[in-house]
Amino acid sequence: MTHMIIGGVPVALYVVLYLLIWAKKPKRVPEYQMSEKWTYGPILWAATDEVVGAGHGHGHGGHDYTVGGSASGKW
Amino acid sequence: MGTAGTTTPWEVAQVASGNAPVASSEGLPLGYAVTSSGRISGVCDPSEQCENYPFSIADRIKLDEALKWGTRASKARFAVYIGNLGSNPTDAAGKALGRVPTPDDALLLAVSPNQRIIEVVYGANLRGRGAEQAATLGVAAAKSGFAEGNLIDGLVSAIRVMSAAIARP
Repeated sequence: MTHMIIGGVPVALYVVLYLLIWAKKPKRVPEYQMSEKWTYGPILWAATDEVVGAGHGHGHGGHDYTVGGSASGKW
Repeated sequence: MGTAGTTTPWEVAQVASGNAPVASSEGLPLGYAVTSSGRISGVCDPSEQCENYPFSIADRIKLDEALKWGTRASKARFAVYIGNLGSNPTDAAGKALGRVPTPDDALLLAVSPNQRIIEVVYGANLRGRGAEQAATLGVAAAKSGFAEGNLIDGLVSAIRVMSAAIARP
């Protein structure tokens, strides 16, 4: 009986929690494939946590800046 | 929040405290908080859809790492834009560059999947540090990645190539 409790309770708990957690499939946006049309909003990702430039710290938009140059292409 | 010829609000996220000044944690959904760097972090019920990035977690981490290490190696801030670029892509990319912190020291790789256009723009301080050649190399690297049908791989290899080509100040 003691063994039943010592062994059984953790096993039962494990099973219950496992089912609770994994029974539901997470809903995710389907992965984008390049053959598809891009229907999502614009994404702008940058390495914002890095310290770059001459001590200005983080810019907050609206500051003056100059575009130094560009290159472009098509595929 | 500014827009560059688009009606959808910008999303600045991930690596990224970005320039979305988050004032307080009020009004955020349950399970969300503002981190010390200003980024919004959150959890949600697995049965609900709570994010809108059409990339796998592994892909996003790959891009995250590329941006971070590319920036550290070259001391040029790397940024990526994915979305429509409108009728004047170079202009639109230039405007997007302005939304990246320290834009004069930043390099933006902009991609419009629908127009099949790649634009690389960089700030004035990167001139003379190899950015001119880096931009061309980046476009070529992205192109070959995209031709194989992988957006994230193309972006990552372009970032690596450009980071290697830009000299530290």
